[in-house]
Amino acid sequence: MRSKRVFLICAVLVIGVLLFSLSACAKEETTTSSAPATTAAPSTTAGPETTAGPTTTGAPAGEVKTLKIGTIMPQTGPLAILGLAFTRAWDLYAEDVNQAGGVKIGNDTYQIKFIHEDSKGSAEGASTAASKLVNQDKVDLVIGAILESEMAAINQVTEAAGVLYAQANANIPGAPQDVSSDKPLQVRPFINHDETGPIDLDYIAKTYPEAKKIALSVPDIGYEGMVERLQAQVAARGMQIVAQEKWPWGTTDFVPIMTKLNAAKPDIIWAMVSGQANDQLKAARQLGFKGVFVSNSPLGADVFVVTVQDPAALTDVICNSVDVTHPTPEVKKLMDAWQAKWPNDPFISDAVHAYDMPWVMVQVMQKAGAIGDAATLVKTMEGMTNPGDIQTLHGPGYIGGADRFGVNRVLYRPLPLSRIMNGQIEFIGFMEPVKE
Amino acid sequence: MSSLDLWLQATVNGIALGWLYVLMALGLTLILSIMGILQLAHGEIYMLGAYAVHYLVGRGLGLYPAIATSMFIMAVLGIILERGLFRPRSGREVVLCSIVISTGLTLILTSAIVVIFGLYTKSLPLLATGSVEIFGAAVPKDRILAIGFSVLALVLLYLFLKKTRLGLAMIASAQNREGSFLKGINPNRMSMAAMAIGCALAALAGALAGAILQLQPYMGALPMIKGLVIIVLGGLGSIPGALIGGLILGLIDGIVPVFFSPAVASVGPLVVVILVLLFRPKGLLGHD
Amino acid sequence: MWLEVRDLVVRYEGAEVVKGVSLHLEPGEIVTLIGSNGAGKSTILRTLSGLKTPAAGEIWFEGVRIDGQRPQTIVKMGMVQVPQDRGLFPYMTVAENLKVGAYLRKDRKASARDLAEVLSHFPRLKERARQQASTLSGGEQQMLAIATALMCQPRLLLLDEPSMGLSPLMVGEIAKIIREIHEAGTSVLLVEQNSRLALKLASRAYVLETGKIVIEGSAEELLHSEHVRKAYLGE
Ligand SMILES: Nc1ncnc2c1ncn2[C@@H]1O[C@H](COP(=O)(O)OP(=O)(O)OP(=O)(O)O)[C@@H](O)[C@H]1O
Ligand SMILES: [Mg+2]
Repeated sequence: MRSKRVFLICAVLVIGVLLFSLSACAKEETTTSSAPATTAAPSTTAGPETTAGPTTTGAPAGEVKTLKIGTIMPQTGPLAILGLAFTRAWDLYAEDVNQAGGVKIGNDTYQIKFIHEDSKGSAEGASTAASKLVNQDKVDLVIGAILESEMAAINQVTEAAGVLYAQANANIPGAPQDVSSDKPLQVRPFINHDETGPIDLDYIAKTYPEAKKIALSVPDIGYEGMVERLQAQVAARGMQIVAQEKWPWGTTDFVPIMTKLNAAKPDIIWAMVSGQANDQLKAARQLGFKGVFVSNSPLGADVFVVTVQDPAALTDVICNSVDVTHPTPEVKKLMDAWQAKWPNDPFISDAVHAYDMPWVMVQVMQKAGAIGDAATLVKTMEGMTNPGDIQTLHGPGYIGGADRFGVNRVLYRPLPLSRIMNGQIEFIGFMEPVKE
Repeated sequence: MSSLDLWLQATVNGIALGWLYVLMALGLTLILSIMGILQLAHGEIYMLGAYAVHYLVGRGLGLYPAIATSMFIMAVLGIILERGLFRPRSGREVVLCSIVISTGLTLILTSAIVVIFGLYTKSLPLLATGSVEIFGAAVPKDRILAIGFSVLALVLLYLFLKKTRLGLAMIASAQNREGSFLKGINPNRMSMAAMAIGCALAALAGALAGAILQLQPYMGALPMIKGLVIIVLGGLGSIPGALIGGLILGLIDGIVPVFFSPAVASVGPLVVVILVLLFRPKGLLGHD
Repeated sequence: MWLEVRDLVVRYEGAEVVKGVSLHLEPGEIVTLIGSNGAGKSTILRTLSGLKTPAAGEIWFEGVRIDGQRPQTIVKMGMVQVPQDRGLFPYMTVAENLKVGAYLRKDRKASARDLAEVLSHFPRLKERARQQASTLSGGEQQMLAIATALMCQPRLLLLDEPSMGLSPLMVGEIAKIIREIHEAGTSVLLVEQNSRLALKLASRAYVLETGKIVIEGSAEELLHSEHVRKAYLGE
């Protein structure tokens, strides 16, 4: 009977898919960045760019050369949205630099050229892309990767070829794939996600002195180290973590997690870095949670407002993302440039971190006086540890990380803090990372 | 909070999820048993249904009229797909072709939505905000409404299949294809009806899920898998089987993460499917 | 001629199963087609009903050529088959099966009347109206199959081995029903292996052997034919 055969095929498929999804879970792949939303981007006022980007150096001197930067991001698959946001930001950076006549490094002036490759969200894809960029395009620098597996694959290729690699993410600061002394040519112009912890805790201590009990919602992707740090920071402030729930990557329904966290009667629900903090807020509030909700992630406050909708739920929510409703002039310029170019697509706040990345690397090259030798560039970067050594869209920053990762190859810069009350976003300000 | 409250919240959530899975499984099982094909793009119909609501709401339509319209549009799309792609042609191996075609359709529809709506996550107006107190436990109102709509859809489907001429003919065609030809039943018309109803149910599930959770181009994959699991679990072509299978999966997803861990919940369906296939290969309520 | 089959050839995957069969049937007749296992009887009926397209030959019904037409068209013209496997809907109730039989009747009232009428001929089915078809006995299933076909309002009923697997008592009952149907004005083309029964019911008969008609004539003649008596009546 035909239907019987179909049924068999069906059964085999089901089991196959289930097994596959299980093995995918086990791989613990992840992303951190804000999963973007329907944000109607703030209405743009300015027309096209009139002034040059932050990196302008004035009139060209010496020879005009090309700085070739290869990028590797997922351009297809579920993470494509991040690949899109990042590469768009990089294109806007290149446009800013090139329209201003290029950037002066040493005696030469460079035009910036990006070559974008698709990692397809996989280590194999990233590895192929890296080989192409290094061997065929002969790029001076490789930037990219969302997943830890992609980073490892890229570094393997770039290190062998002696090319500098700037990782574009760190889901798990301190993970084996992150910067470390055994990867001599890998740097990270991207701040640790968990630097927001002490900032949020201090703000809560000041604003909600009664709130002591924290329930933690943790994506199950190797955040143990981050949780440990947070625990110490919490204890240091006389607060305590009363419940902790891990959820698998790919979770869409957060009601079960929030049911369990809420049962511990916390004053604070703390959603650790993930793109789904808004869904978690929605679920927590629907289950009757009335306390403080911390979104320890880059998810824009505006995204919460648009997706959670209910003003009663959008109260006492603390966000650590770039607040696109209160942009600094620099961020505003980037947003305007984005809107002018892609008027139908809402701005994604990840573009702000992304824009900083090549800019930071160019500043390192300027300091070194050459784009050349990767080892020299790493050494130069490791020396830029004084506050203000690096300019970013978030304000002045510096290079650090030796205390955590053994090497000074990580960007530190101010972090934005906002609070949502009754559906209205309050921008609290840019906060310096706290050393502890 | 007492553990009774926990149970209650977990159960209501599980039932709400379960009903969404039931809607998916019903469509799949109708299509599978009447047309004899595996419509692997059914999850994308679910996704399209949700996006259609998003679009219509953006055009100023209310949420409920938008859901109804989306169901209608998806029903029409289902008919078009049946006529254009899935209708058997001589010299074509039906099952294999349907798998190839619908896999391709999955990619095409997902890409189309990415192109039209972008990769951005979208959201729908909430079905309801806040929660109701049941025995002291806060139960999200939107879940209760979602359960209500799904139950209503199932009751209407049941009445249609049992009480109308077309409905009876559909069941007949699922139970004995050739026998139905000899009663003058046009198989193409049954296929069209199965696709129309299946797609409308998927659109409803997608819209409800979109309102409870959120929309993104890849949202169809998970409910599609759940739908297939349910068919294997409940038995091909069995409506009560789809109901029971869906509720089992929903309760696993609702309760297990709360009392055990989400990791256990993700293994749960696999264990259940394997057990059922071992001890009742035709599914819980399947016929031979 | 009312129903006429001319030089019909039917193939299954290249193998010729029906090899140039011609037969005909007039209104009011019961005609039987007998033959042993695998002779091609069911294949001929399936082709008449449009379930199978012939490789060659023509089928005419009421002056319309119907070979290659879709089954529903042929049912609509009044030629209805009760297939060898009975063609029931096993997980539907008796009443639902009968309702499906009336699928082509758009007039709800008329089909309700038909239902009552048909059930009055089958008291056993009436008692079991809410029972699932698969739980009926073999004889009851055959009755249901015939009753369901009657709901289509056939003018020509094609019966494929209605006596198959039934007890002698039940065979008698089915024979009675066939006679009643005939008396009510429906013509019948009866395929049977129970040749004695078939020749008793029919006025004319065809004998099919490996896809060819080898003998045709009145039932009376065939009952006296040497060949038939030896091969089919076991005398
Ligand atoms: N679907 C099919 N595919 C291939 N061969 C078939 C098919 N159906 C029937 N046949 C072959 O056609 C021949 C005639 O079959 P048919 O069913 O018409 O015989 P029959 O006279 O009805 O026999 P019975 O009295 O056993 O029902 C047989 O040899 C059979 O194997
Ligand atoms: Mg036969």
